[in-house]
Amino acid sequence: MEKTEPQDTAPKKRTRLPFQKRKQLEQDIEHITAEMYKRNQELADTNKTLLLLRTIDALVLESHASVKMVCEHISQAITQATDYPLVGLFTRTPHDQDQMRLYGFSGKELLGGSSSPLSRPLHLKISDEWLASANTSRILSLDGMTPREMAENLDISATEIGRLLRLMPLKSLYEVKLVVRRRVVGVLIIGFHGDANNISQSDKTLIDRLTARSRPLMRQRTTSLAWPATSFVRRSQA
Amino acid sequence: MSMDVYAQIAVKIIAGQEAIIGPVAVEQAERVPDLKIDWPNHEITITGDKVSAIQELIEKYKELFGQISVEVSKQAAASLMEQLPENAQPAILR
Repeated sequence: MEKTEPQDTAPKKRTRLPFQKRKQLEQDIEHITAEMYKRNQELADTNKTLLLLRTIDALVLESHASVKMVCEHISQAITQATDYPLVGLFTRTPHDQDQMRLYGFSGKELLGGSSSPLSRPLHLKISDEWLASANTSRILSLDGMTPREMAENLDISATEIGRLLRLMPLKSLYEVKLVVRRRVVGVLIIGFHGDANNISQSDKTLIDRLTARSRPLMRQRTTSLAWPATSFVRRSQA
Repeated sequence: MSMDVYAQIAVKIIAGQEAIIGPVAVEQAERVPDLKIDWPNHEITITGDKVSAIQELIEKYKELFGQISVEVSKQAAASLMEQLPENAQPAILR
């Protein structure tokens, strides 16, 4: 006796299967493409970071220029390789134990400009409590701060801060301490146009790595000038 | 040649995508009718509605690579968005 296929369900199955397979295939391709895009993005970020780190290595290890010049070159290299509107590098001054001087300063809007927007060098007062704390980095939202508050730790007038902010309308700062042998010898500051909440994890990782790579410069050239971090605690407590 | 902010945003977006997907980024951008691209010189002219041209450019990448590509475009354009008033910003980049 001949076996017969159930005639009503077979054609339906045959038409549904290729359609389902095609849909599944499309979803798989979409997923794979998005995943490859993500990996490529990570690779592009890594390449950018490595290139910048190599530049900083060359500046730090091969240069015989002064700390001021090297700091300037580092901040310019970071500005050119990234989209950060402001890069600042504060380091200790040999003359003053109470503040760090802004040696490297570079802004995206100021690239190619011949004159500095500052009438005199910026100084960061080391009485800032954060410098004595265990946190190596912090995010500052400038949105709720008045120029007077910003000027408090910078040894600069509120008018000048206002002028700077008009020139570079920053909304937040990411600051990282440069610590050598448990001593704070400098601070790297990156300015952002966006809100503090919008600073991405990849930016923080990049800045942390850049700070780590700038440390040898500080170790080589400022070790003899560095002060114990505990002195900050004593000062801030006083 | 000096480009307006929208053209500069388009350049930033294409450059950001190019770093990830290579020349495909420029090929996709060339499919946006209102963009006249001179990529060797990194110059772009927008002939029609500027906001829609930027939106269309971002959509091109989104069609191929999904939402993550929109985030990359946002990041690439972020530094220039501040120069535009909120009502003149492409909605997809806000």
